[in-house]
Amino acid sequence: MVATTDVALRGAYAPLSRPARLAYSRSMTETLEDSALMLRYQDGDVAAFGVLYKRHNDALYRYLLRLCKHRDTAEDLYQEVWSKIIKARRRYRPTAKFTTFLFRVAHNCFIDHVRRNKRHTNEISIDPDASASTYHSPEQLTDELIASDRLDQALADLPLEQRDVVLLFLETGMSVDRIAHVTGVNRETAKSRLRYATNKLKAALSNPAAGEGRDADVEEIPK
Amino acid sequence: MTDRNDLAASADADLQTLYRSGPREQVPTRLDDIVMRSAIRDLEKSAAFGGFLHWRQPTAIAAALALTVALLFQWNDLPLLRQSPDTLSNPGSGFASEAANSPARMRKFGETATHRFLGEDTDTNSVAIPGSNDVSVESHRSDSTPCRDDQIATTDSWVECIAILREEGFAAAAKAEQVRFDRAHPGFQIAR
Repeated sequence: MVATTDVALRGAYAPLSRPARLAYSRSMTETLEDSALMLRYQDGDVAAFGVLYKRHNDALYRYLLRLCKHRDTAEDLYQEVWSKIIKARRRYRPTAKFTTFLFRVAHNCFIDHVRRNKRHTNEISIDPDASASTYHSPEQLTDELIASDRLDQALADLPLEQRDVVLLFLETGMSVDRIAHVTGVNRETAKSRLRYATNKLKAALSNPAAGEGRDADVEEIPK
Repeated sequence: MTDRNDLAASADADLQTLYRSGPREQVPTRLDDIVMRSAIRDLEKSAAFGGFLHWRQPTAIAAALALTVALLFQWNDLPLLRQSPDTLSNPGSGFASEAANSPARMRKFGETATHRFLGEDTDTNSVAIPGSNDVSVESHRSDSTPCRDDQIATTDSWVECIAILREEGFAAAAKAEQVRFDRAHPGFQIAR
């Protein structure tokens, strides 16, 4: 992945008509804050975008993957999110952390997707090659991997709003305020959802049977 | 209570540790390529379209302004270039027929004709000026009574009349109900 991106970055220098503005060194851009990188990309520095992208691509991908619980949908949304970030570069202002901006776009893309599809299926179709490649047989599973597997299952069982906030917390370590901003709810609502979600996850981990008998077909569409 | 305390109360740090020890899916390479290509393409598009008139490129702005001015002059000149005897109204009489006989002369500003005006015996001569919103030029005496064609001294006056009309702009003449034109020949009036 890294090699491919680097090739893409190198190739990007040739066709641009303002090469002088792309003369930032890689080491310099790698130490910059996200918002500074975005501003440099706004100014025509594609290498800055490359660094920014590599910082957040996997976290965003996992967030969408676990939120959607459907790989193809997650990948479509992933492209849509970055496409919106790229298009928004001209009017980007560093008023909030870049990750807040990025995950808010992702959250909104997902909500739009759910609303478009009305009946959001709860089917888990994550490719087992990617998510379970670390074990080969039940005998080889350690306690930690079993717990991790249970956590994954419990996450998938959470109501959508709770899954959204807890994924933001687990994946990015965001504060409650920022989670509230990303999900478009007030602070107390975000805090409450996070508390419910973590309690359910802990219960599922301590008692694997707790999550059974759920309604797995339909999820409430967030307002 | 700080955010950190809030989180400690509502979300277990152990949960985060457990989550992060689980499967860490990575973005497929093809998605990376798609996104990076998109980012590059967007910059190229901006460079191609936005760069031309970028505010930091005064040369581009000057070139655009020069082109605009040139086009405006060209546009202004078009009616004159298109002028031909066929477009003149009343081609068989008076001044019109004279103009029809010397169209090239009429296309030049301020040129004085050497031919005498040999108009017919009519009280008023008029000619439509192409592109002038049907402004017509009539001959009158200074007391506002129409003069005979043969009383108009020379075609020089007509030519000058037309030339000044052109110089001062057809639009101004078209707006006025009657614009007195009394330079060389006080009896001339330009009427719509």
